[in-house]
Amino acid sequence: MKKILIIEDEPDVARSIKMYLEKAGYTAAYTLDPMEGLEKLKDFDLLLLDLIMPKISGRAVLREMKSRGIKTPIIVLSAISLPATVGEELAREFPGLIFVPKTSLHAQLLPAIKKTLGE
Amino acid sequence: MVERDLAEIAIRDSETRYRRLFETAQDGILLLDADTGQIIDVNPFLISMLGYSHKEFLGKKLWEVGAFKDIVTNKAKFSELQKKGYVRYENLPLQTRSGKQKAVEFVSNTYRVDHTNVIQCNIRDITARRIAEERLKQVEARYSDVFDNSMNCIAVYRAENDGEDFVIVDFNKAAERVERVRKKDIVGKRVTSVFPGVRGFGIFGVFKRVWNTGKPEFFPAKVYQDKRIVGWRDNYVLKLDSGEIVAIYSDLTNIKKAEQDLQESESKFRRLVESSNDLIMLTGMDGKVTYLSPSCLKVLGWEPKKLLGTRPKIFHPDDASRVNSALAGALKGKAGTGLQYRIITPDGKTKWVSHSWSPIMLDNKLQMVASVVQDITEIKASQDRLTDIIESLPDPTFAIDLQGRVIYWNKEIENLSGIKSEKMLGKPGGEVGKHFYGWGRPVAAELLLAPKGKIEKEYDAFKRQGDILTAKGWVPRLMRGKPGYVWVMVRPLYDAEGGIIGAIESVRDITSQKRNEDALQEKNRMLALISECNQAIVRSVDEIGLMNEICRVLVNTGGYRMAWAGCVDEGPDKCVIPKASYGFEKGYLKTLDITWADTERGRGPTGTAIRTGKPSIARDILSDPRFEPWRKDALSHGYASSIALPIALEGKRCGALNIYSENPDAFDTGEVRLLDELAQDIAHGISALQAKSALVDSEKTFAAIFNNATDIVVFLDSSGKIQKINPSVRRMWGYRPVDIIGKRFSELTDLLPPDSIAVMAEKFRKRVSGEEVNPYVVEARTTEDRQIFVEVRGSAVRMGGGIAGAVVTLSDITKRLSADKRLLASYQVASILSAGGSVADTWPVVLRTICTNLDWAWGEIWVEDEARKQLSLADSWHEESKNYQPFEKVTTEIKFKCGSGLVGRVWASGKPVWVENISKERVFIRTAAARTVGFKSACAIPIAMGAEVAGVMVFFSEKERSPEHELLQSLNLIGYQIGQFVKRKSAERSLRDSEARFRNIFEHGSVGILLSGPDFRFIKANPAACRIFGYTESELCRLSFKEITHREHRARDIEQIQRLGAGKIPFYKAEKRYVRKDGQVIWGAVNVSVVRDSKGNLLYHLAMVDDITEQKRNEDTLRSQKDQLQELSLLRERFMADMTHELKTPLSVIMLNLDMARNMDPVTESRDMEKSFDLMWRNAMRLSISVEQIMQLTKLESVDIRSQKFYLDHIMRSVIEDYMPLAHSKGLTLDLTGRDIEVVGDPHILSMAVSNLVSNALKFTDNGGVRLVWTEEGGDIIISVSDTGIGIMPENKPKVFDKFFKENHSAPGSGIGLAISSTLITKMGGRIEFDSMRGQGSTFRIIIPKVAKK
Repeated sequence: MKKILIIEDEPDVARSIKMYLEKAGYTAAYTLDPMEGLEKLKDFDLLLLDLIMPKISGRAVLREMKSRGIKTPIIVLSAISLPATVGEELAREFPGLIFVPKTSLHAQLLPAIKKTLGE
Repeated sequence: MVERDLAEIAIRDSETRYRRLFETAQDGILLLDADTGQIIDVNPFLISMLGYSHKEFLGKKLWEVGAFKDIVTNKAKFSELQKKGYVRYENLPLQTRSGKQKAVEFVSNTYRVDHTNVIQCNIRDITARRIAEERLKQVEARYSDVFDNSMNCIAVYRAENDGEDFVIVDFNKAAERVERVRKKDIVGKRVTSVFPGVRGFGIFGVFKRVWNTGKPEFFPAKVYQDKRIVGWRDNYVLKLDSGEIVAIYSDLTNIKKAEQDLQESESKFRRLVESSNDLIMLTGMDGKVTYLSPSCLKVLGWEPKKLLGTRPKIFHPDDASRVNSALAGALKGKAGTGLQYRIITPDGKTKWVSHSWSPIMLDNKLQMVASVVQDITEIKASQDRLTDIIESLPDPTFAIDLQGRVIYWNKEIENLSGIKSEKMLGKPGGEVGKHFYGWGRPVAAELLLAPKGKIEKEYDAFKRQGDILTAKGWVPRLMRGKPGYVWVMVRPLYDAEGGIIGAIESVRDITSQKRNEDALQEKNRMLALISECNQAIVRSVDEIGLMNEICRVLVNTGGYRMAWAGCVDEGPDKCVIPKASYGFEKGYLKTLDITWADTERGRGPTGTAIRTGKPSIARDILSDPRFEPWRKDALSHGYASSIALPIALEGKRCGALNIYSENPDAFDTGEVRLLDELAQDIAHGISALQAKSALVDSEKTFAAIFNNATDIVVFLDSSGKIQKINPSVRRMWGYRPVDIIGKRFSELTDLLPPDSIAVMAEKFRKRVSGEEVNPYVVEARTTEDRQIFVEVRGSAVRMGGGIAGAVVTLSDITKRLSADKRLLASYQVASILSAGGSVADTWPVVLRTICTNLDWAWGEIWVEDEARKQLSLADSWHEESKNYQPFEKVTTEIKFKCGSGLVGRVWASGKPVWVENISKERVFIRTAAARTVGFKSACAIPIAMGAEVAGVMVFFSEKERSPEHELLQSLNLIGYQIGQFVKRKSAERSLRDSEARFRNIFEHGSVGILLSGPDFRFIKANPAACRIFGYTESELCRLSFKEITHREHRARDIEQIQRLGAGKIPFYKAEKRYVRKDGQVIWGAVNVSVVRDSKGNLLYHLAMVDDITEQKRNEDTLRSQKDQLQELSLLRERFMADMTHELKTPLSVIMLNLDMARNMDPVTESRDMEKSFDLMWRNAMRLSISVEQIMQLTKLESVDIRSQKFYLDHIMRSVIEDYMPLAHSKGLTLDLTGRDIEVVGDPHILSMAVSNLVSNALKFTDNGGVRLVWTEEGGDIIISVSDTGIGIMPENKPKVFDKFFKENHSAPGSGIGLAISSTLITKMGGRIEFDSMRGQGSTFRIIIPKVAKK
């Protein structure tokens, strides 16, 4: 059973995704603190990462992972309010990154996970 | 039969033969019946040629066949053929059946066959021939064109006698032109006869060879020459198929000539460059040397190859930077000449060179720099030697170059002038003149260089000996400003080739020498005086006569202004009675009233001399206290010093001789001694006269006096006829006595003007009738037609009780008289000028004074206009009785430019001009008008202000007046005085203007001006300063800047002002606050400077203050508005991002859970389902609140307060209930305290505001809890929400109620809650306050009236 970690500062969002993934047959855990998430990450097969968080942004997490050489696959949960240019910049900086808009998690999240995990 | 057969056979054979001919012929043959014109037969060739069948021909008429339709169109033509029997067309176009054009030759002839007339037409196809012919024609024409129009010369020759000679066949136009022949003249002639030089030239052999071999040959450029033509030719010779020889050639003469010219020019220039003594150098644009002429080694001492291709670094270190910068300029296209600098040769020697260069432009681009470098080491050395020589000259010496610039200035002249050479070198010679003369007078050295004749013309003081000029002269500022006499010697300065390059002038101070000469002259004068006086003593017959004569001699020979002799009256008054006088006296003696008693009027020189028996001198009448009683009169008579000499007879005082001079201190010791001796002689003379009396041979003495008198002495008989006249008449008047004797004065009409005659006649009448007649003056004229003034003295000669006649002496007093007038005019003008009137008031008086005193009919003053471009009439004067209208009109209308007319000329030159006869003067512009009104002479005087000429005075006379040197000098002096006056006036005016200007700035300026002393106390304040600070000036003058400066700036200001005072900063500028008298704070921009005396001591602080309060206020407002706007827009952006986040997050939660819940089994997964619905509910709520807030935000401005009665308790509790879950989830307490109070207001707004406060409190609190308390105080309700949260940062406190303000941007919420609450509560008539302590918590209070106002 694949293990998925969610880093998301909104508890309701994190909780809902965790439940959603468990219903879909994955083992899921969430953390509101990105640094904690980074520490835990080695036990997981996939990371769902929120971009806009108050203390440490998703981008900082991505950079940190890159510098630590963590190769865990990542799906970025993006917000509608994210300006297009930011998305483009991120895609350039971290090629192959998969984005799933938060407003269509119910439609896109599971297919994206399956694809990323090669199922 | 056989025969017939045979014949038949023969015929058949023949027929066959013909038929074969007919059928195989290569021409078309057509047989026609000549009678009918029908075609009888046609041969196959024609059939194939024209494409018609045999049948189509046969039986037809010729013109019925298409091909011939056009040719034989009617019977008329055919009948012509029938008639003529022969027709021929050389070139007939036929059309074949298929429409092709064929050119044919058509020949037809008629003959008879068996009684039938047959026309045979032979038709030959000539199309091919025609085409070939056409083509040939075209080719020919083309070649002919080429031939004729070729630029090359082409000649065609035909060989003759097997190539022994060649005959000219053709010559094209170019060849005609070049060889100057006409084709028609030479065609058919032999080449050797037309061009006899052809063999020598060598082309003839070529012709032969080409004719023989057929191979073309090129014969290179060579000069062809015969008697007729010469020129360069190059030839290409070929043989045509026709066997003709063609020579194609061109005339290279011009090209060759240009080449040769170029070569010559090149070699000429090369020779020039290479043989030049100067170095010629070319430099590329990279600064590297590209060419050096051979003289490089000689000039620079460097091998050219060492320098070629380099940027030479051979300059002397001291000159290198100067040279390099000049050469850098050259590379930018600047030309330069005569740059002198030193170079270092390879063996370390220094050479001087002079370097000139010019940039060379080719194709509008700077290509290189060409330089000429000269070795001037020798010249420099010789210059140095010259400098040494000049330096070592004992006389002050300087030299100028041809441009008049000072090039040497030796030590001695430095000492003389007090000017160092470095100050003078390079200055124009005029500077030297300015120094010594006070104006830019040309120095002698300049005059030497001036065009020949100029010196002699303008400066007669110079003497020329060969090329040396010498002069003596008076220099007003010779020795460090003191005047002196100099002897000047000037000689030209030659260069090595003997050309004049300047002039050298030595100046020798001969002041003392000159003084000795003057003293000598003075002695001579005194000797002459003594000798004349002695003669007078010898000749005089009586005492008074002697005294008079002595006085006359003293004035005329001694040059004194006046002399008188007086006798002592021994009476009680001790009077001194004048007995004789001479000179400018004019009533002086009448007012004299001298005594020799020891009283005030007796202590003058006369009284003193008589009393003491010793000469008494008043050296300076102006300052001598003893002269007090007579000073005014004496000065007005022009007496500056006087001497009184006692006359004592045998120890008894009997009188005094008084002499007056117009110069102060005129009597030096030697002179006094001589004069004293003279007085003693006179005393002896008097005593001798007294003793002699009758014994004297009066006749003899008389005759001696008569003959030797300087004046004219005339004896008139009682009828007035001249009995005797002494020889002086000749000297004075130019007449011999014999011409006059026997005549009456009234007959001497060419001598005496009528009114003079009238006067003399009247006086003579009186004299004869025994009346006393005072000396009087009449006008007379000399034989040279010079006007003179003659003083007439006379007395009756009594004989035997009756009057026998009269003795009249005539003295020429012209000089004295005009000197008097001049002096008088000078004095009067001086006193007018010093009277202090305005310029405009002064002119008429000055003009009148000069005109009336000095006898001019018209006077005018011209002054410079503002721009100093021209002179305009300032004023003019003439006698009112005179009418000079035409002249006046011209004069008022004219303006003079510098140099134009008499006026302009004087303006330009600064020198007075005397015009003896206007009509003869070309420079004079107003001649016509002047002649009309009868002006004859004029003189123009510059009004000089130092070296400048500010205007010109011009005077006109109706009499022709020859130049009067003294008058001109006097007028010049007056002009100078007037110039000084104008200068003073203009200085006064500009001073006044400037004073007014500054006063205006001070009094009326809007800037406050404050003057304070070294103790900072204000000394002066202008009205603007008083207005700015609200003090009066006297109040301000009790203060210093410290008292009016805002305390915040005081320390800084004091420090800065002290630095300013110490000279550490040049000025102090600040924008600062001041405090007015009324306590109001204002902003001022101040600029403080200091005023120091000549020693640098601080005198004043000058502060200029501009009130900028209003400006400052505007600036501040503007700045805060701008900041607010910026902040607002930033906040709004953040708000939008946050809002989106706020809306989107709950939405995504809801959607996700909805998706999940859809697939859940309500029975087995009821817990999860519940959890999902919880999440959905909560987030739906959150969404709802956010939307509500946005709605509120949009409605905010238009929200209505709906007041109603309600109870607080209920509202508060429902708020708490709403937030209890949130509090619990964060582990916080949430409680409330308060009575149930009835309130009138909008419960919804209040509820919302309280909710907001509670929500915020919970949001920012992590530990402890939130407390809601309400109380009633007075008519107000106070609802407070306290938390134990993080508190608000002090700097953020003012912004708490701002829209969109969030202390932490990542904090949830829109940042609008408090702003909305505050606005709404304010609308309800209440307010929100808060206290907060960072880290300890905040308390927000809503204060509303218990009953809200409507």
